[in-house]
Amino acid sequence: MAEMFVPSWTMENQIHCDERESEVILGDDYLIHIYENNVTTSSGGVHNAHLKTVKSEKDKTMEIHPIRVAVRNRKRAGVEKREERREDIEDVSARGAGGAQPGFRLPLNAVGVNPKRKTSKRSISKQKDEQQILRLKDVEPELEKLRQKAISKLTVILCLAPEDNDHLNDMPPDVQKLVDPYELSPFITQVCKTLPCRKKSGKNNQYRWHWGFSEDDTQSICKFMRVAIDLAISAHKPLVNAAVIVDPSVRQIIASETDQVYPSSAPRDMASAKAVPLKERVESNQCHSIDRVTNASSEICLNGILDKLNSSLSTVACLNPWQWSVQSHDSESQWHPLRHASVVAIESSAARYRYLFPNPTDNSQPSNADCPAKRQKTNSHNPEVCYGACASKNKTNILCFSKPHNRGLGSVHRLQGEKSLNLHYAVFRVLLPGVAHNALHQGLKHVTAE
Amino acid sequence: MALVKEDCCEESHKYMGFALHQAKLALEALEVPVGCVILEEGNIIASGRNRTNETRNATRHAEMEAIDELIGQWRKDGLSPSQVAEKFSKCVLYVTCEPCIMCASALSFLGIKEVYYGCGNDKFGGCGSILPLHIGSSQTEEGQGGKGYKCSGGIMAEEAVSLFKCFYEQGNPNAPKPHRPVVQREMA
Repeated sequence: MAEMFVPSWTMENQIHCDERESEVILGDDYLIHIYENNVTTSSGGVHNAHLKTVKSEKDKTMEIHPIRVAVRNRKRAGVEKREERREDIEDVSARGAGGAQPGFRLPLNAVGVNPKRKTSKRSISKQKDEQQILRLKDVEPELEKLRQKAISKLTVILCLAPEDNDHLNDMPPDVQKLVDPYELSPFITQVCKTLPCRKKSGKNNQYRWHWGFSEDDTQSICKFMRVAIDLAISAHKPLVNAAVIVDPSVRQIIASETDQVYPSSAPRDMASAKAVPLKERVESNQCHSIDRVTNASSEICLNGILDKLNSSLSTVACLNPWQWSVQSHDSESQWHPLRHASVVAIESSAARYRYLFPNPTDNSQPSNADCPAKRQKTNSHNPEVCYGACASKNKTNILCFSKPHNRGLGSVHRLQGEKSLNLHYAVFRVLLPGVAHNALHQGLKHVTAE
Repeated sequence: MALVKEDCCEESHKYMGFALHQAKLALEALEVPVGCVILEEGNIIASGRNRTNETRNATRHAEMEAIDELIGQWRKDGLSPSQVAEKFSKCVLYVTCEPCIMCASALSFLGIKEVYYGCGNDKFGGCGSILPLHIGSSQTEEGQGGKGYKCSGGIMAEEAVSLFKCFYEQGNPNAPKPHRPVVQREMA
């Protein structure tokens, strides 16, 4: 007898086991474990056996997987030659019900599909379908392809992240080699080891993964992104942030606004740039990364202002949200330290709804019917400001584009991953296909309508 | 020493009372009952209450209302941004519910001195519940900003919570997905 499966209530603790090193595996709420000090009857000779407990589920069943692990661990320990003499798989617990269930059952479908338990840290650079985890040498041509035809879908490269270390420096060197030339921005997140098999686990996953857009969607996303960029660079002399809110059902722009933190009418002169030399030095780190990106996109649209970039960046409100107080100002004009583009855009879309649906009791109706979506381009360093807004605006789709320095979206906080925030949106960074061969990195945030 | 503490406690209760009054105003207007007051050297210089439903703008939290009131006022007085920033650095905020992540980071941008709140906000709280935004940003230590502020909660929390209970018992008619049925109000 190599092994034996014993259902409950069959006097299983009387089974005779005459060989040493036999093994008994039982659930942790099984009566032998709880009431009998984890010792089987000595009259049966099972006291020689090694008892091992496995966590039982609530319905007093055990999953296959932990049992397998329990057996295998033993093998790994170098005792594989020995036979497991007896596996006591307890189905019904004496503690739980005190009555035998008809027959015994093994929850076979429970093997390895519970995503809650099986999360592991991996670092992700771009998106690929979770199913296909490519080897690195396969990944590179794939990326090249994507780069050539701009981006039509998002790709993920997965690699294991160091267990207890959140630094990206410890990326495998192969992946590191890919990161720089393709300007990927890796981050660490938890992913499921297995594919979602059930609706629920798929839902759990959607906070971490998004499965991409249709071709049509991609085009309109890029179109609106372009609107936002045009707005950002044309409306003001210094580079500002712009936000566009779009209703996705009719693909219509609801609101498009730019930052109103600094007086827009005041021309930015060199005097104000000189007034804040210290800050520029301090933020040089920031500027480096920005330069890289804007250089890449300079052929498209930012060429004209690139030479002024170092000074004008200091006026991008969301990159330097704490710097509003040191900016020059015109006492006549309107300024407000919190008027970031996304907030202004949300406000103007709210005004639109007030106008369209004046009856307050209709409040939920229009958002239902219209399914308004927001699409925002934000350069935001700390887009918590727009996040809070998006959070409470359920039933809206929010698509948000941002330059790669948005610290709230990933660089610092990854708010959209915080489940407790109840935010129904995902964030994307898109590579906007440019007129020139280089594309501008943009982020895109998508709020899935619930 | 104990006396000083008691004084402090009494004082904070007094100001929180004003914030709770604002929250009650919000409740009467069928808004989520959150209210706040901003103090400068012991004087209330601004107050605000939630206006999200009225304005249909989810960003119009009580803190934002009060901040906007202040900034508008100071701008009218012809203060420059640096003067305003200086003034903010002397301001204290009393709010009935922990500031959300949006408001918490906004307060950090403004460089407010202290924040006292009533009940915690375990869903959206930006002062420790979800993210500790009041600590300031560690990456920007070198003067680029990242100002933190002192934050303490639990002041008259029961009162704030009971206001919320009052509100949610009748159901939030404006919630996109009401968790419980909205009680139809009898038209008086």
